[in-house]
Amino acid sequence: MTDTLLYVTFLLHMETVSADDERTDAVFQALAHAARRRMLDIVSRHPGISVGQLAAAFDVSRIAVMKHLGVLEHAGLLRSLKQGRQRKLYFNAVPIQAIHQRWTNSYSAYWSGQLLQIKDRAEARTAPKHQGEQTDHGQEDS
Amino acid sequence: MDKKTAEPAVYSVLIQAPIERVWAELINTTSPRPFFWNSRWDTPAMAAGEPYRMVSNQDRTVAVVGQILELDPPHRLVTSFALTSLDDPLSKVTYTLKETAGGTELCLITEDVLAGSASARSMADGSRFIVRNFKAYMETGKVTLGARLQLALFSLMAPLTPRRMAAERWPLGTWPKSG
Repeated sequence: MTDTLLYVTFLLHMETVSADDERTDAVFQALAHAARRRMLDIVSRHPGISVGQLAAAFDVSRIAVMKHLGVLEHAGLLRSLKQGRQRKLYFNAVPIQAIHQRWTNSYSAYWSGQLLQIKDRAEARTAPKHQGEQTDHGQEDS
Repeated sequence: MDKKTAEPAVYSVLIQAPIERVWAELINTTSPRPFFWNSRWDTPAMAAGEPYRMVSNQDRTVAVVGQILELDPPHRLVTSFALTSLDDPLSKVTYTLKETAGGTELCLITEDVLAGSASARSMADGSRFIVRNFKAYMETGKVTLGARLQLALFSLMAPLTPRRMAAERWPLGTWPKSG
């Protein structure tokens, strides 16, 4: 009986998937690829980078890069502005912030931040350093 | 001497509301805007070329001054922008609205902001506040709980507002030089 209720609730929920849910799905889908995460790393550190400059940092075809950019733009994580003939790329942090705020409060955000700092510092001390490599927390090894 | 301006910064959010409603709320000059910290557009007319001030605290406080540079309803509003609490030069703030399947994509773009300045930090925090709370206001009728607490605190602290933000110091049409 409980299972049936849960199933019905689930079905009802499925029918009321909002635009926000779709956008959140798109964000997670976009982030579920190492190359796209690296693209966000680069764009957030170099706001206004051109598509060509970004593509040059990847050893894949320009078409593949454009496809990844499309996924990131669809998720709202990247926005492009035209300047002259160039298309410049900008990171939009708002979807990430919305996800962060959904599952954290100021207390848990503080302590999870502290833990991540400990992890990064400990790993920086023990791991061999590689030029340009970055952690999932967006901090480059030097 | 040229001071370096930061690259533009872009903040966008999907609002589940029709574009005309979002636009009407953005340019509403008659009541305080909760997503603008309960300040109100004070301008002779919402039209390109007109000066504006963001006034609050019974019109006694001016937080922002500038000019409406472009107005293309219901898609685009471009303003020059300066915070009266800081000494930084004029920058540019653009709002773009685009109809999407789920509603309206609101995009806030800040440009010509002095790199590393107090305004750059304040505008980055402020822009996130605006887009997030604009969405909450349009979809639920009120801004987020965190914003409501912040607005209540601001209201309590109104008597402590710095004198440099007093309305008499910022008549319409007064603003700092461009960067």
